[in-house]
Amino acid sequence: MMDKTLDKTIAQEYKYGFETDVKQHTFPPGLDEKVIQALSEIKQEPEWLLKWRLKAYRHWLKMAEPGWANVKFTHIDYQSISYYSAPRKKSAGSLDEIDPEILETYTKLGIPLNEQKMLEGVAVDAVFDSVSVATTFKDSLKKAGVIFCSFSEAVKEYPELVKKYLGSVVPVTDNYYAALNSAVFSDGSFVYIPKGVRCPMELSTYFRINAANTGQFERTLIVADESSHVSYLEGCTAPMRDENQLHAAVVELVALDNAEIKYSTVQNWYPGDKDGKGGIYNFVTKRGACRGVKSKISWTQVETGSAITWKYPSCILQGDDSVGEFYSVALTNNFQQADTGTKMIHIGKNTKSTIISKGISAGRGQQTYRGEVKIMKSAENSRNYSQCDSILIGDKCGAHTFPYIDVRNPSAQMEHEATTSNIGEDQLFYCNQRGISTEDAVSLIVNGFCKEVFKKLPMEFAVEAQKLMEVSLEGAVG
Amino acid sequence: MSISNYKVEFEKMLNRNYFSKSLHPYRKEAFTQLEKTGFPTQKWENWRFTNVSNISDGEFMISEISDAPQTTPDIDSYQMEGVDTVVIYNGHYQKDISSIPNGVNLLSGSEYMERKNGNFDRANNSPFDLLNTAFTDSGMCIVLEKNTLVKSPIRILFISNGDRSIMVNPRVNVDIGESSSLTFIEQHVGDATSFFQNESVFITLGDNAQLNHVRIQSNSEFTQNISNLNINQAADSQYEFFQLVDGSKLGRSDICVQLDGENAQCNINSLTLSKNNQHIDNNIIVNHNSAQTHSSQFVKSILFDTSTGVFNGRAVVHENAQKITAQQTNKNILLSKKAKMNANPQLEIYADDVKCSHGSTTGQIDEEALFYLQSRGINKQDAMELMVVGFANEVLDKIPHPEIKKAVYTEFTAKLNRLMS
Repeated sequence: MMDKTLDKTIAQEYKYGFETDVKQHTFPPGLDEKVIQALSEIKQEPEWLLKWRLKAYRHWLKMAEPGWANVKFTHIDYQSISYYSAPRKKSAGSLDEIDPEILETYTKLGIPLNEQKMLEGVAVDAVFDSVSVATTFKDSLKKAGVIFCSFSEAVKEYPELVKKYLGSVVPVTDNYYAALNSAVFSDGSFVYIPKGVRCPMELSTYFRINAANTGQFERTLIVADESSHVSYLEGCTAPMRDENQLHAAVVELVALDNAEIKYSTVQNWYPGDKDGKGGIYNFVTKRGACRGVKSKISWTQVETGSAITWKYPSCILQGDDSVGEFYSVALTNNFQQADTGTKMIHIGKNTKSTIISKGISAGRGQQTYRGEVKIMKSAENSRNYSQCDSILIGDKCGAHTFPYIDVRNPSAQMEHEATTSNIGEDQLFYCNQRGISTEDAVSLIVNGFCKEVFKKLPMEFAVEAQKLMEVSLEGAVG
Repeated sequence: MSISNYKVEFEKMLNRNYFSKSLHPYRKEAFTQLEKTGFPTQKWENWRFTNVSNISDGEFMISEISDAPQTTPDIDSYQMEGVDTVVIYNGHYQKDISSIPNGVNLLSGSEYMERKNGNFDRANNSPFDLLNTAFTDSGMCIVLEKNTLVKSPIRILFISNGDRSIMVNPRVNVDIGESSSLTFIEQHVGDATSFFQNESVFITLGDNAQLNHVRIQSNSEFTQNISNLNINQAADSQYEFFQLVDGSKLGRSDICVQLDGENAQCNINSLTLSKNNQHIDNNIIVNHNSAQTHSSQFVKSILFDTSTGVFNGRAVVHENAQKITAQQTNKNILLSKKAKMNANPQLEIYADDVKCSHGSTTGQIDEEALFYLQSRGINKQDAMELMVVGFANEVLDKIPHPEIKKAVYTEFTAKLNRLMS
């Protein structure tokens, strides 16, 4: 009996799976230097950026696809992917010029780009396939001195800032997917918070894959200058398709003295159907550098989508007294696989890091927490606390924990804890006995399990994440 | 990587007539395979933090008759109360000074093979297991028939000595029949100046069998010590393992437990005390292949000077193995600015009705606790020692046999005292 209710709870449909019918300009599939040159030309990029892309591409050719992650997938044919796709209608600046179809898409997704209808205090950069179609509240942000625009725009308007920080956290040679992204990235968001400014509103990017057979390669760069503060959100969805699509993004964060960056993600790419067909391959490199003293970077992620998630938002704690945080909830259902976690590299003195990771695995989902905490010789009195808990729902799923701990300084204090268990029958019984149905009880227990992370999310997102959790779990209880 | 050097030794060995010819096919097969895989490099996931170039580039020679002691070796300093001892000196069995308790059958490698109808135990084909199969010299097989309870512990004492760069590949089989029990000690000692020991131990526990296994590795600080332990457990069997490592330049223990039968249980306990530039690596894998199996791993390290340590622990719960408990605890104390520890406690779980947890901590002596002790009139030196002993006691207390516990404790505290003063 309980099995059935659980099954029903987990199997809710993906509701962002529709497709938008707009005329698109799409490159034919394939990748070589000419494609990169064409891409660079369309975007009217300066010479240095093209050179940078080609350098990345040449290095990528020499690299091999990594195979160490605890995920299984068929080999990706990089020549069958189209590396650029954009709506035909130009959409520069004003909202009136955007294709109404696209506006409609975002409204359907619950992200109206019309500023009047928008949530108070959240500025959105909407990325549709390979290009950014709109950025809202630009003017009011400009008054505060905050730069928030699409990456292509940043390259044109603020080349010196982009040149200084691009690739400084994730070098082009960093890993296979980062190198690929560096070669072919099409758009993304750029944020610069000047000295002493507290960003007046939440910034947010909404990524949408629409075209078929394309890969999405966006790049986000956030620079928080001395004593500034910014909170940034990221959301993503894609249509339901039978083939797998690749999403290989790079996110770079730089925090200077006393700056603070809070980066939240609610990742809800199409996870594939219940037989494991289709879905997005989400292979992302995210890294933040706490360059300045007392700087702070905090990652919060809720991962419910994607057929395969493979990402490790990391912090390099260079500045003395800098702080890194990682809060994650990952859910895998049906045939989803996730290999996710973080890296905390302690270099500066008195650096602190906290890792809270909650994994929920249901159906035939396979989930891995993989994290590294490295305390270098120079990191006197540094401190790490990690906690990674997993819940298993159903006997076909798996949960794995692979922490790597490397301590080279005796004054460091480092703790790691992990537990893995199922939802206890006694817990369910206790709830049932008090008149709570098994379905609600599971949802209650799972939400309680994730609470520590959810409360780190900005308010609007926390509500959404909680709902998403319920939806994604539907049918898993069994 | 120079397998070629080992190849020369291998040919030499095949021509020595005191090695049983019946094993040659297995040796050749293993060596061919080893040539293919090569020695592990730091690119291998399980060897990321351990460099074996001293072994792969080393020029170790097989132990010859001339490496056996000319006179009966003096083992008085290794005396242990109430324990029967089998002595192996540089790979040579010393029958005159060896004794075994009642109820234990001690067989040679070839006798053991006959008993097993020509079957030859093969391990997981790791390079060092293959190397051992190719070069096995002293085969020692301890066999307990059904329903045999042996009270008196049996010890194999491995002594390494001399200045010649020799390698020794002991192979120990421990077969405990149904409902039998034994306490087995292996102790590694000596003052060799260049020595490579690559030991493989195969332990098979029948239904309801019990084995206490104590391993004391205090070999000379110039030796390379690799140990491959393979444990297979049938239903209701119980395996208690305790290890103290304070010897060798490079010490690596690969412990692989297969919990095959329902309700099988294993407890792995290990304590490491390292100094100078020692590198001690513990690589533990426990496979829960059957339902209702239980395991615990309890591993502590105390690191002085520039020594380095690795803990790689993994508990794997296979599909359909329900009602499992698995625990891993790893705690490390760094007592010098230059010491380094790598800890990777890992859980891999493919079933849902499980209770698994792990914890790992690394740090130095708690300043506040130290201050507390000092404020009560205990000098800093003693206070620190007290705390380290307390840290170690948690593991030492797991030694099942009181006499052995006493012996290990005395030895440990003496060594610690020397290091801390």
